[in-house]
Amino acid sequence: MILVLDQVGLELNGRSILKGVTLELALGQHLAIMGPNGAGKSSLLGLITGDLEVTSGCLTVFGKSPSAFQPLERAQRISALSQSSELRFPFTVEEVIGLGRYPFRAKAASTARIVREVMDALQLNGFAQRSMLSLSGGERQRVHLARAVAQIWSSPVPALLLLDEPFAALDIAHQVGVRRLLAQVLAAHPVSIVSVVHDLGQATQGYDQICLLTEQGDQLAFGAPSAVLTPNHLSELYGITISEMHYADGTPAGFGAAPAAP
Amino acid sequence: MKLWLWFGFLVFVWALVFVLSLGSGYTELNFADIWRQDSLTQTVVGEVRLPRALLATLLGAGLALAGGGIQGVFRNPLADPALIGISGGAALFAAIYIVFVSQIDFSLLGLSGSAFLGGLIATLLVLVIGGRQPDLSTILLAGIAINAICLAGVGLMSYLAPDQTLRSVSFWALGSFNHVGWAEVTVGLLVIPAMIRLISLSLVLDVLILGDQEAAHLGVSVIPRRIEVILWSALITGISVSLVGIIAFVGLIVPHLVRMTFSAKHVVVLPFSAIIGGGLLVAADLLSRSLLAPVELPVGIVTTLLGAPVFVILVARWSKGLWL
Repeated sequence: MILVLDQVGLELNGRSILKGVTLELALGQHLAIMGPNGAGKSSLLGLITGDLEVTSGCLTVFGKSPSAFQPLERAQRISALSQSSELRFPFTVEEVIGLGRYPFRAKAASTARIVREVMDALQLNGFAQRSMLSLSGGERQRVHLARAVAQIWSSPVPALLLLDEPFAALDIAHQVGVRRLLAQVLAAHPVSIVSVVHDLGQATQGYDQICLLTEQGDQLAFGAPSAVLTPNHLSELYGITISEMHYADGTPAGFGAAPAAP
Repeated sequence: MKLWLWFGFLVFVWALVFVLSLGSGYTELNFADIWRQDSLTQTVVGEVRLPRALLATLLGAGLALAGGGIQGVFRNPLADPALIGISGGAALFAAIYIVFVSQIDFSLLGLSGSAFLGGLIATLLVLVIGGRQPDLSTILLAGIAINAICLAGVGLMSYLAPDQTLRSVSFWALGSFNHVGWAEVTVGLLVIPAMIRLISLSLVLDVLILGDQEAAHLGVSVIPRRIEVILWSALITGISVSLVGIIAFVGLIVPHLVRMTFSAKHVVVLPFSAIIGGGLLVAADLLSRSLLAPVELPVGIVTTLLGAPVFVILVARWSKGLWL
């Protein structure tokens, strides 16, 4: 197992953020963490990167506590994309993606090739020499995603990619592009992915495991999407009536809120 | 490859300004005269102009490079050792050293050490007061406050100072190469190891610019590295302030120029800032001697006259959401 959480709890300043989170992630799988705003989804990623420390229970990544890694060793195996990264300097797109290879600077020869491959995969080639300051919010987000992906690309050992809202500022075409990239990463490299996602509409696609967190940070359910993503669970989670939608031929088309009662 | 050519060209420009500076002044010497071995040339060039131009090179290079490092570590392209309090703190501690210690035991090295300590304390105060906010303008505001306190302290010390030359507030606030000799150059050489170490941290500075969390996720030990960059920058600034007073805007404008013209990567920004800063300060010193000759202007007036308008433009663009 790449990632194991057993009854993990987190308290910050005496306030309970997460309680009883129990899950497992195998190599090559994609786990989505879902829940309402303030459910502690980002904090859960913080526990995995070692930015935060568990206050109860047990969490291991690659069989170790995140705090047991040396900083460089951890960076060679765990890559994380935070929600926002503001850059006020005119670095080019290529340079920023190249910074994702910092943990492997001893093998700098492969950097240019990996940066080119990642830019190809995310259709960023035309942007290589553009300054980050000239990009739109969505373009910048794709560059930072590319940087996080470059960090685990061609990893010789199993690696973990953590993504906080990877689709937040993207239009639907780029959301599809990013999904394709993540599928490609999982297929071609020894990687597992944990994503924090918001959008219920797309939540069923492309994930192997789903973890639902309530507003109080309790784990409501964990398992395969078909078992976890049910109208009952989601209605309980968000406190409004949510039903599953279907295409005309009867295949599932995601979830939506029922119209408010008059 | 193209960058190397540019760097070579900038070295050539620096050498040109340097030689020009050796020849210009009250005693005009042409290029051939400079190398003569008579006593007049040896005095004018060897004892006065050469140490002066050498120190201007060292400190200009050091200040510009430290400015680039400070901007990187504060993630703020508008930071500058003089704006965020390092120079003010250094000047205050240098003045305190002169008033309270120098009667007992004066050494140039002690003066520089004291200035370094003052710069460091001021920077740490600015970080504690303004560093918690992700909005980096609070750091600049904290710097302005600390600077104001320090310069008021310098003014106070100047009334208590025993030595006439060091009594003038304008020496500390505006900077001058008027009194520079070989002793100052010797102490000024200390900026070289600090510059080399900062250049060796170029890639770390690139990563730090992504943000603390991002840098940590890339395996950088953020706090030790940040303190180290501040330490070396404060050392350069402290040495510079103790020897020639506060020279503002070199550290702000030069790295900016390099980022706009060449690259934002620190492995380019830092060495290019050093060679341009060195040439710029030699030129500024030359201007300060020749603009109103035979009266000599404080060199800080020249750098401020050159730098402040650029700073105004940058702030105006900043307020429109543009960073460069």
